[in-house]
Amino acid sequence: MVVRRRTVKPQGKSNKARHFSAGLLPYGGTRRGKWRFSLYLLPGVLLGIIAVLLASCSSELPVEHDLSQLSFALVDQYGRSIRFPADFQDTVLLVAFIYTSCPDICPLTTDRMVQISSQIPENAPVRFVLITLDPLRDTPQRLREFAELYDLSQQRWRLLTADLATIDSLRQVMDIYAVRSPMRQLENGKAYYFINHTDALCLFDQQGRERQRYKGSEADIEAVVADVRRLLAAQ
Amino acid sequence: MTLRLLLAAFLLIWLVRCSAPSPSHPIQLRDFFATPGKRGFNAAVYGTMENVGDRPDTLDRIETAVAAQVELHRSREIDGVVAMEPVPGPVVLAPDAPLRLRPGSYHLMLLDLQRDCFPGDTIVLTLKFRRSPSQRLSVPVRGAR
Repeated sequence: MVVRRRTVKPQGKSNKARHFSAGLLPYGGTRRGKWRFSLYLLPGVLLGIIAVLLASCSSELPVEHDLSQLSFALVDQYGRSIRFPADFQDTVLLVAFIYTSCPDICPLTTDRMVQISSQIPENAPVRFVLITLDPLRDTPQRLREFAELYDLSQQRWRLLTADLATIDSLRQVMDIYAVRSPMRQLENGKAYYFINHTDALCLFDQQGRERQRYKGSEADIEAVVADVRRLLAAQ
Repeated sequence: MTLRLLLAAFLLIWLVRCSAPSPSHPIQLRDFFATPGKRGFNAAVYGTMENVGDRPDTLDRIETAVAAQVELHRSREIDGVVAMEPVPGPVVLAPDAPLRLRPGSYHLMLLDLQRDCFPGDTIVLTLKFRRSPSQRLSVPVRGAR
């Protein structure tokens, strides 16, 4: 079979022009050049499709922070020692950093988590964790009172505190910002402060790795529930 | 007997008038609710204050038996970090410029609760204005949805 070729004059042409003439670009070139172009393109298209499929797959949520090799000594609302995140292995976690003296943003985040919790079956291996940013005031007793206020179930919710150094170390590993406001005094003489902090809700997989982060006080309930289900399915 | 009935009816009418904002008051208070809190916690109060009069007024003070102090606060988010701070200066309520107190924004901060406030409880606030008469407001405490 004889294939007629167009005359290619490489002399004086740039590489780009040469490729154009040889049919490596989509327009112009010989029939054979077009065929060759398609062959080059095919693996790229296939790779693209695979990439899109993988991106939509649960197991491909990126690892935001890997805490699987770390262990933080915390205490829950009942005064029990908790190694975070090691003690939650094989469990999907939703973790938020709050403090109980915050009556505005932190209850909003808690409320979002309560709504998410209501959409996940009770027997699913999922736990809801609130870690205080204010360990000086948030004792286990106070965390228990907070849980009582918001009717957070004993089985599913863990409210955690620790010494200040441990909390600081944990939040720094997770890129959670927190700084105390200047101390003020009430008319009754009591001192108080607030904490400016990152508004985050973090999704952990069964291996102690943070896989997704949402804005805590405005988290999209359906999106979080879908991500939780993906991680559960990927187990 | 009739006198007692009359007195009881008068008392009932007075209580109702005190707990519900007067429809003729220049400062209208709508849709108020509070977050829960245990004794020693803080709580937030949300709702809308609207001056339907024809001249500005100022909210001078809010009194309540359930908290050591009440202040107007504002939460703000900058680059993913939320900060809460008292709003300085007098709270001026201009006509037709409602002050909307919403979660994550302006709110009344009940500092250092003096008793437990659970969902279903009611908190009573007295709002004192510079021009208009004081208003007594009953605020229901709401829990998580």
